[in-house]
Amino acid sequence: MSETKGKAKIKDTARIREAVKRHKRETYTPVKPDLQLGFVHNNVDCIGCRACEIACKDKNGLAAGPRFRRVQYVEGGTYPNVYAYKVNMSCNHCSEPGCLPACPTGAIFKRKKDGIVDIDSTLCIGCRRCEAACPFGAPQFDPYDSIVKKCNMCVDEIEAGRKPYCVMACMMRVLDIGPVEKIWNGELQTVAIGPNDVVSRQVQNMANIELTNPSIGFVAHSKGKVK
Amino acid sequence: MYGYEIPYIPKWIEPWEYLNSKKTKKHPFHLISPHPRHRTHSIYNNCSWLRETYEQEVTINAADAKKLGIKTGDTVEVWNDRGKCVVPAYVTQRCMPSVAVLHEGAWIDLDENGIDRAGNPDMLTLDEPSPAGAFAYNTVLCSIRKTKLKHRPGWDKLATARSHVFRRDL
Repeated sequence: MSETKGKAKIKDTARIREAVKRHKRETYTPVKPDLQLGFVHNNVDCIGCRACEIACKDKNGLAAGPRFRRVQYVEGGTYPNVYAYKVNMSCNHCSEPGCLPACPTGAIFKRKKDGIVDIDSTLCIGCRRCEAACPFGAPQFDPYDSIVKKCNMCVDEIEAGRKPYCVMACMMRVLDIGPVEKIWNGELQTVAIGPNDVVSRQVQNMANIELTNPSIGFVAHSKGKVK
Repeated sequence: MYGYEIPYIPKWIEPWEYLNSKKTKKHPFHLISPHPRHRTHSIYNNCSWLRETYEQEVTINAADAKKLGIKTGDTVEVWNDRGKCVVPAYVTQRCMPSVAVLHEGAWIDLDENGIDRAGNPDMLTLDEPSPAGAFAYNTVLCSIRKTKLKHRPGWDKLATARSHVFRRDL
């Protein structure tokens, strides 16, 4: 037994990878939206005032606890070579959301029209499986309503032709939304991206984008770039 | 020092506590208490949104923290001869060595020994106004060490979901 154990282990990892791929192919086909909206955030110019977090909590009527938008403070280096930047994230409305197949009741859906991932609160049973499945911590349990809630990019505002509350609250104008393809190739007309800035999909202090293919772009800090 | 004569020309008056005084042998840290950005002095400290967004914490330099064996998030006690308060520490390179920063205005929460668990710098200040009659909030020497005393942040941290995890990542 012990001799075959090592070999069997290697075989198993390959087979498990295969099985996971098959499982994904057979059980879950991501919705291909006509237009995928996404956020863009300038990590360098963000001052970390957290007005976006509070505007979001105000709009969604959240008590202390769940927080859809989170500003992550990153600082490092030793004096005199110190640096600090912010990574700001809510739900990334991923192309292959991890939360969606994890939902046992089918409460989570991705809109065909603009690629927004949302939860139907009437179907959610509060099992919190999506919370564990999301690598970015977007779905959060509301202990007062006993259901999971998440950022829906303020769909009502989008339908009305306006921008989400977090974007409107940003005093430095470092947060914006737009079609995600345009964000990534720098075509989007926004003050969040400066004239010489390069938009990157992955920055440090962020989960691997290969997991869920998130629809978000960052103007990365020089120390926060991923090679 | 209130009531003392104020000199007619601007000149140096020795403060009762500062980093060049001999009192630093006993209490080596100079404590300053600036206005917090999540409160107006002590107003709005009961707002749960603001409490979970920002923490009452003592900011110390990384070199000092290394000497004392303190990491970000450790509960420390800040004390001098006048009082003691318990707060989490925030270790950073952005603070000057041998200076501690503790924001003013936290609501005092005394335990049975008269120690403030909320972390209000009022516990450490001298109750004597400056010559001009202002309260000398930034003229305080104190000591800091790791502690097993409990800090009471004033809201349920367990209910804060994962938001607190994303706060700071060094």
